[in-house]
Amino acid sequence: MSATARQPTPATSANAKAAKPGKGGGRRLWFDLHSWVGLKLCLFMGFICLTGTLAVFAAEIDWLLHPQMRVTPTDQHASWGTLVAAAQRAHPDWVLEGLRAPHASHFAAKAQMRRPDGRRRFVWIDPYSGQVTGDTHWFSAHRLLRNTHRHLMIPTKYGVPLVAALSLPLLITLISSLYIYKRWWRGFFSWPRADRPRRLWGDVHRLLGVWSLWFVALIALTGGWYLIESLGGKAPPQRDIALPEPGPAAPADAAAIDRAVATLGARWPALEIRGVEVSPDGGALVLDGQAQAWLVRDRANVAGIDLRDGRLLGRHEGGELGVHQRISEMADPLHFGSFGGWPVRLLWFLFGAALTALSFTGVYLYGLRVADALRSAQRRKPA
Amino acid sequence: MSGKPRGPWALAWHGMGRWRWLWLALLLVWLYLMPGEFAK
Repeated sequence: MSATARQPTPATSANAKAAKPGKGGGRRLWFDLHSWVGLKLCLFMGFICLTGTLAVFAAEIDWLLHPQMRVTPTDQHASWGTLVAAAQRAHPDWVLEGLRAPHASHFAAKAQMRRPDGRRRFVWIDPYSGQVTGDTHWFSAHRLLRNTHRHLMIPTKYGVPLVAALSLPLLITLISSLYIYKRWWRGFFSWPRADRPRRLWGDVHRLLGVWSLWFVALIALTGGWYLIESLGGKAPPQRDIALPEPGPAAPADAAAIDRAVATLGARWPALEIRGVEVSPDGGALVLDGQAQAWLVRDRANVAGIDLRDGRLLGRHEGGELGVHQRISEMADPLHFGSFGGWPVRLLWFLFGAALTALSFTGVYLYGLRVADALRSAQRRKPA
Repeated sequence: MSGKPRGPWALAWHGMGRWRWLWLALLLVWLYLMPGEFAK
């Protein structure tokens, strides 16, 4: 996303020579393409990259904003049954839609509940003591960043393909950069030269670029997958677990949930439960989480248990998925960096910041080049 | 472009042409839709 020779300014002819990156006509074409795409799309691209970068630590941002989410770890852990019962006891007239395990050791567990007026709230429960710490609005920093980054809050039918289409220019800038930057593989340790702004920012742009190549490729490919999905290429959903006919609404029995979790633990020891959903009549429990399959979402490993008799209603493992479903499952962990704890997310945050910086340093370089060209043209003008 | 000299950011802004208005319009749409997300 560096400067361009083809700008809609009077400096075009004067700047063309200055911005020419090399003798090769092919490379010049790549350069023009890289510059045009980078310049015209930089605002949109930069905004999406920035929101995506911040979204990596959205849970931590919310943790800082909401004291209800903060807990102090202890040696004791409340059971899933205790957590479910605490949420239902705190708000008996709200419907519990699901309960997720804490994001990290100092985080509360999150219950998603629906009020009688249809609005959603998050209820936070201390996973150590089993006490409800409070509730927060459904809209959060996480929701703001996620919905902005994913579809700009535009209806998803239009917003998702619009944002995901950025994967194409991202791929173009990536491929073109490999043609423009001669012997780019030597650039990993080329420290920026600070003798003049244009050289400094050009070097910074190239240095960030070479280190970010893998990340740009990853984001462009996963973003491209989201584009395919949004245009109808979605993988078929995993088979549903058939739940028993629902009875009248009732809270679930905490002891029955704990028995079900213990039963499942014996039959599927590799499953690390990350979330539970209780049927509205309190008669069935659906659990999901992480097991043997690598790079899948929690919902890829799922089991259902009848809470009345402890019968296993069904079980699906991430490893059983077809290729299409597996690609679909892999996209989120790879795009979000959510597969390896905070060190991976920190890496994603840093490279996301580098990607954002590439958008803006490229545009700044364009401005510097045009300014240089204008100055040269001024000097050549007869007095 | 004539007259007082412009800085690099101003030149880049100018170089974006009509696209900048498209992105600004999209930004306004985003701001307009945000309260609806809050209300859910």
